Amino acid sequence: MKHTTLFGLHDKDIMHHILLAIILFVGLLSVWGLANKPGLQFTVGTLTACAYVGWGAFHHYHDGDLHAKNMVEYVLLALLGIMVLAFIFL
Amino acid sequence: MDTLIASLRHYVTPHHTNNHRPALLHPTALSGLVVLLLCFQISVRFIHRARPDILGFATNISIDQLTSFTNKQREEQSLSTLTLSPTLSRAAEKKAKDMFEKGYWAHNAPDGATPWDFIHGEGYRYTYAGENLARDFSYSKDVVDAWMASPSHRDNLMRPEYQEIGFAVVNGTLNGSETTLVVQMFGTKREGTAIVQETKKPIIPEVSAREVDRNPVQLGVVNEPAIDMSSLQRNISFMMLGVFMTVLIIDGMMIWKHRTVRIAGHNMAHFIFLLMIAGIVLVGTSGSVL
Repeated sequence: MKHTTLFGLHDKDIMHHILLAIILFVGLLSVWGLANKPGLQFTVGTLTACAYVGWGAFHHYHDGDLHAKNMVEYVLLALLGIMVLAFIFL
Repeated sequence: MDTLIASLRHYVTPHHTNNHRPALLHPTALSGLVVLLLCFQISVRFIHRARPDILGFATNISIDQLTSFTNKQREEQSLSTLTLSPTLSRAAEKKAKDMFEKGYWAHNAPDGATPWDFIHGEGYRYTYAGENLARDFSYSKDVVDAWMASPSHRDNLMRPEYQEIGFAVVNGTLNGSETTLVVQMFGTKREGTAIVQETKKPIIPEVSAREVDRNPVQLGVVNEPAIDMSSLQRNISFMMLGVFMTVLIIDGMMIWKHRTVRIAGHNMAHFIFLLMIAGIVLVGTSGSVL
């Protein structure tokens, strides 16, 4: 039986979200480490956004609810993030 | 008023009018926003190139203010104030221009030139010398505050042995980015046969001191466009991310409260992602010191 622990997230969901937080934190640290290299910062930020979409596919596949509608949402939010990064770095 | 509330409810909260998902998070709204943001960026860049006096990077950094803020920090620690040296300022200016010409951001140039080479090049003989660098700051106080916030730069700024200081504030394009470089050089003139000490790599000075003002030193960089590009970038980004993060929180709370079942992405995941983007905006729009 699944345990509902935090805003409807189950134990497995929480583990997946921790994994996502780690991926995104590594991305953020990498951008910080590449200070003053805006081209590389943008590239790393974009790759991190792609990793976020990848995480979405992985997570929803494991949850058994991998639908195009879900993935479109992840892709569009990632694009929105990339647009913000382009505004800052390019 | 009722229409406004209904619109707000439709765009910000899960409701039967939006299939229990805030309309702002629907693919139509998200893709519309992506296109809008793209058009906005293209317009901003076009205006910036055509009329930098209207939309440009605001900078107000002067050597007088930098000296004053530096000395204020030293006075607070009961240290002697530093005298502005035109020779050190010229060395700092040459260092800044060298960084723009050779495209580097470091204490040592790719060709091996050290900060001391620039100081020697101006004929300044010293017993102590040091260098702090800063870039992408808009105001003098922010530069000194950033140095004070970094332990190694603070130590350099607070060294009791220093007697003189020089600054250069130079605008230019470094590795494709418009930036303002600030170079701060410290020194204590050599008297007799004192030991030479530098904060980085020690070398023996070979040039004798010549305190002659051959070229006037640039007094700072003041650029005041009608709209500051940095603030615009930061404010628009934070405002947009803030709106989406708020909508995700509201949606998450209401869905959790009403136990609504639907097919959608995870709000928590989206929130963490947008938080990371906000972190990158913060990192990307802050000045840095070296």
